[in-house]
Amino acid sequence: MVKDLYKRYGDKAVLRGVSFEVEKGKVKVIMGPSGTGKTTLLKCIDMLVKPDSGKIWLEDLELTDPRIDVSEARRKIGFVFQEFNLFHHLTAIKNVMIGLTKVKKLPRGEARAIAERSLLKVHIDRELWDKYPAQLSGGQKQRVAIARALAMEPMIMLYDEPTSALDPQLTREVLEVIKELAEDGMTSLIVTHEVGFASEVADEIMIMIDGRIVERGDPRSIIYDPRREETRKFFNKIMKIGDELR
Amino acid sequence: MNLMTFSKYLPYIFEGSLWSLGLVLGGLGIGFAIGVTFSLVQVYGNPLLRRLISFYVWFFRGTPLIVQLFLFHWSIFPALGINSTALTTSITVLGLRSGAYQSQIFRGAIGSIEENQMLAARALGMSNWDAISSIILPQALRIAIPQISNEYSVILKDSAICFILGIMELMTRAKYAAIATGIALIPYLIAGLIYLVLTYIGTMFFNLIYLKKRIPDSVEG
Amino acid sequence: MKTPTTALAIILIIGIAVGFTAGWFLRNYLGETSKTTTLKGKFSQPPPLGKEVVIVLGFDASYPPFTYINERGEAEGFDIDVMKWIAKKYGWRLVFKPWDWSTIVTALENGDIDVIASGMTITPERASRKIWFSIPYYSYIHEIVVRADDNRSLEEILNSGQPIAVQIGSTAEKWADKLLKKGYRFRKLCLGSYVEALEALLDGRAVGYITDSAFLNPYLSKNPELKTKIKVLATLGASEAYGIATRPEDVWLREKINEALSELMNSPEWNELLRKWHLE
Repeated sequence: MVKDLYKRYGDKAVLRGVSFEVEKGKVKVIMGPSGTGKTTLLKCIDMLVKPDSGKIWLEDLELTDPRIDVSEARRKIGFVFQEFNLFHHLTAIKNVMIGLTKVKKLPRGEARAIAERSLLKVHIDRELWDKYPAQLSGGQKQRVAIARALAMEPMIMLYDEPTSALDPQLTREVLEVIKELAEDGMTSLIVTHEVGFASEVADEIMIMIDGRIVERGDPRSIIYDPRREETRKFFNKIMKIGDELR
Repeated sequence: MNLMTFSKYLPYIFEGSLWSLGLVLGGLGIGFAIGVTFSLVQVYGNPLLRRLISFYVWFFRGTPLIVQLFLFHWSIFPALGINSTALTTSITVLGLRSGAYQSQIFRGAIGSIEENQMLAARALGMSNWDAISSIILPQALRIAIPQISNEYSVILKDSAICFILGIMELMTRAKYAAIATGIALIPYLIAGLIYLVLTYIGTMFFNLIYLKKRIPDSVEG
Repeated sequence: MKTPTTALAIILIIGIAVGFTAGWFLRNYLGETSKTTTLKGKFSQPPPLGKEVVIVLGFDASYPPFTYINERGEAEGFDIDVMKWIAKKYGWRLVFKPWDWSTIVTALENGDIDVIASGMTITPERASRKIWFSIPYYSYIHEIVVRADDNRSLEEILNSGQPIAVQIGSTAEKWADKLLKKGYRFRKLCLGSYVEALEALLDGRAVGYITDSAFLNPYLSKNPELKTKIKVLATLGASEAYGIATRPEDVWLREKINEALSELMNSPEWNELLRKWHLE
């Protein structure tokens, strides 16, 4: 749950009072034009960026409380980056294992078993396990990154534009995986520009413009019947880009 | 004196290459430990420590080795009550000096790793130390291998300066052989050849590590 | 792959270990001597009975025939023989330590070495300050040497504006300075050893060469082919003498060396030694 979040970089206010909640097992999608603070919002939730004010709770734990161990809290949140950010020097399976051995201090055998399960869940086959990130396609990389976050058994997954660095033909395999996880009941907060995907997967879509959530609601009404002019403009714009791509 | 007499000096000169190699490995080893530690402090440490290390690097890169050798052997070590032999001083000073250079090599290597690597490590819940030791350093060390190889060949030639403290390394032996036999050019040429061979072996060695440790298909690897 | 933290620790330990192993290896297998204690006046008093006296002999290994290194890597030369004779007389153990001439006095002062027996000229400034000498054991005179085919006079050579070679830090260099101060116009070419300076003369980098008879005469008898290539143009000043240098405080050591030197110089062995090294 996020309440009243504010963040500024220099004199630019990026987040101007954002509040919302992601209930257990629900999938929420945040959409909006670029540069409106969506990535900053996700980073704040994982405490990778410190918010200026406002509070964040993970169930009963207040993440913004300065007394808590932030690293300890972060392992309960899975974060999937736009640019994958796999560790270059580790093979796919070791990328997944390292959080388990280093952070959770699991023995290697156990870590490997969990990593294998996670990789299979994102449809990364055995023959790719010992490949290095540089030897994988973008879609494969992103799925390994999802497996890496998943292996930590997070309470919530945060996806920061997981497909926007991918070629269009590779986005499908990644979105498919995210959708399957969501259907399995993984609580998720997703930032994306994929309208079709959003409408399929979201329990609620929030539109974020200029550091504020301007409109929220179930996918159908938000996409096809937005109440606000700016939301309408936004959807028109991305649909048009989508048409051009086709 | 003729070449026959000189040829008897060859084993004596060859033995000098062991000394040179000892100085180099010693210096490189100590320098590596210092270099890794200091580069981390320079990138992640507090401002006071960073300034101290900048000063250290500035001093060791800015003064000639010969001055450092004298300073440590005849001023600093005696003032600290350390009774150091010429050899210990030489290896220590070569190590301290190489540490200054290596810290800059590793600092550059750490700087060339994208910040996102650190971000991803923290997102997994790693502490800063875990992230540095298991994500940043393994990559930085790989990136630094070619430059460490270069540092090896530099320090190999630097080590010849240790004659000033009576260390009988390769170059000094070549000189003494030249003087005892009255043949000037050949001993130095032979010393030069041995340096080339040592450089070649060292470079091959680092190349081997590089090939073994490089990340397959990566851009910098 | 081990866990990275352990790997890092191992790397660091290996780094330091390599450093110290290299040092240890060199010291134990290649014969680096440990430094003698730098206590002032280590040899000011007779050592306790039954205790082995170890003298570290510092010498410039580029000064044949007085001190140089033979093909087995051992110290050899007239001064070495003299010191060996002295050490044998008293049952001392000698440790031979070649040292660069430019810093040899500092090394003596700081206890890296205990004596210098390396054709060291007794000069007032040396004797008054940091090092005290034994009685003189060999005297010689400084000479200006030119190539045999050079017909210029001493005045012409000294005013030629061309280089004259000397060994850096030697008494020959002092002579060059003295001549320059008197107003002669030549360039001083400093080289690392007497031999190198002589080579500079032979290959034309210098027109003159200041040396001393103590070096030149035996060197010429060892390399007779040079005799036709160079000639002694003039001698400089009065004769000077070599002494064995010690730290001022080491009174006992100096007395012992003097005692032994007098004995050796009055024995028939002395002339044998001089003959052996072509120094008569």
